[in-house]
Amino acid sequence: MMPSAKKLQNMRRLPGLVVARLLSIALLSMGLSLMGAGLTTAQSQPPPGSGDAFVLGLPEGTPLSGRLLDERTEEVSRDIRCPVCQGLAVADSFSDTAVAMKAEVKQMLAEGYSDEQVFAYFEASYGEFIRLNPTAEGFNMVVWIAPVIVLLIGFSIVALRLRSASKAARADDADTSEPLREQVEEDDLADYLDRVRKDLKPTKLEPGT
Amino acid sequence: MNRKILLAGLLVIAPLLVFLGIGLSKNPMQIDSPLIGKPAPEFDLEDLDGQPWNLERLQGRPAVINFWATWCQPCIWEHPILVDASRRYRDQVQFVGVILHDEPDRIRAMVAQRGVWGPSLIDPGSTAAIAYGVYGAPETYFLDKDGIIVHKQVGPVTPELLDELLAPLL
Repeated sequence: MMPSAKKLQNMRRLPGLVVARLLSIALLSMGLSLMGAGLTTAQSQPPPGSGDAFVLGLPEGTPLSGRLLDERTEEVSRDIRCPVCQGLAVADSFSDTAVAMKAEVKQMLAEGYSDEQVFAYFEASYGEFIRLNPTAEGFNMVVWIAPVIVLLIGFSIVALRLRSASKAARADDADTSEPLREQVEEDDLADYLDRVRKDLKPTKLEPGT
Repeated sequence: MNRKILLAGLLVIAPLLVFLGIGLSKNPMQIDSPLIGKPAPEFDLEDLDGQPWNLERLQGRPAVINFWATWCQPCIWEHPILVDASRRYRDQVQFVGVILHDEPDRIRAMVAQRGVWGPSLIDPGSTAAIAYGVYGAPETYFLDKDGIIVHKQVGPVTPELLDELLAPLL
């Protein structure tokens, strides 16, 4: 059975609708994610009482040495922002400041300070800005949660739209009266037969072809 | 429906634009320091003559700690301003310079040529600079007589700024 004209029209519109919805969702996700990041940056204030964090107390970890110390230094330095660079971690920069900060990280880890104590030390001087991975607590959670929520909402919207479009198409089929359907089918068939006749129209063949 | 979703997207983008506007309206020279209102980080450094300096030695009167270097052009601009201020506030304020990524010989040469405004402390490994959250040179910290940081100035100081900030500390 040939599909009705309206159904065909709906089917042609469907990919455009889906793309439009996906673009809207992407826009929403991006907007909310960036908004969350913007808020996080705007609220990048030191935690209460961190001003005296340069007195870190006793080391809470295990003193490291050798290859393990080098590896841990690299790992921790990857999460500390180089303050004189554009979006680079201390581990990835060769600036004097980054090299000095990396040396401090290494010394602190060698003395047995924990990762969190190392971060707290730099955070006391530079604020939360110095962390390349903001702590997942308080308002910062927006950065992690918002994209997931927005994606879920987006998928729900897409699913609902697809379902309603499918329902509408089925309803169109059911509502179409039989004479009209036959008329449409006859019209379509007539167009098709016209094209076939044109294609089969005898062509004069030149001798030798 | 398309219009509704577009409107929702715009409503989400609008706050983002507001944040962008707020960010652009801020003075990029003014970087908030978490150390404002807190005790200044301790340091244990030596000056160009090998004399030891620490925070304890500064307490009892307001202090101006300036991180600078000879490779820093704004530091050269503000040098005569600091020389002048150190003379005007001679017995009232302690001016201290901390060298940021520079060679002591270059500092000696510049001080000899342009004048002295305070001890120039050598900071091996930039430990003091990191403890104070220094981003670059020049950066100046104003401490009250109890060693509390009351202001951080990014970029060169001016005579007016020095007078304005030091007046309430005296």
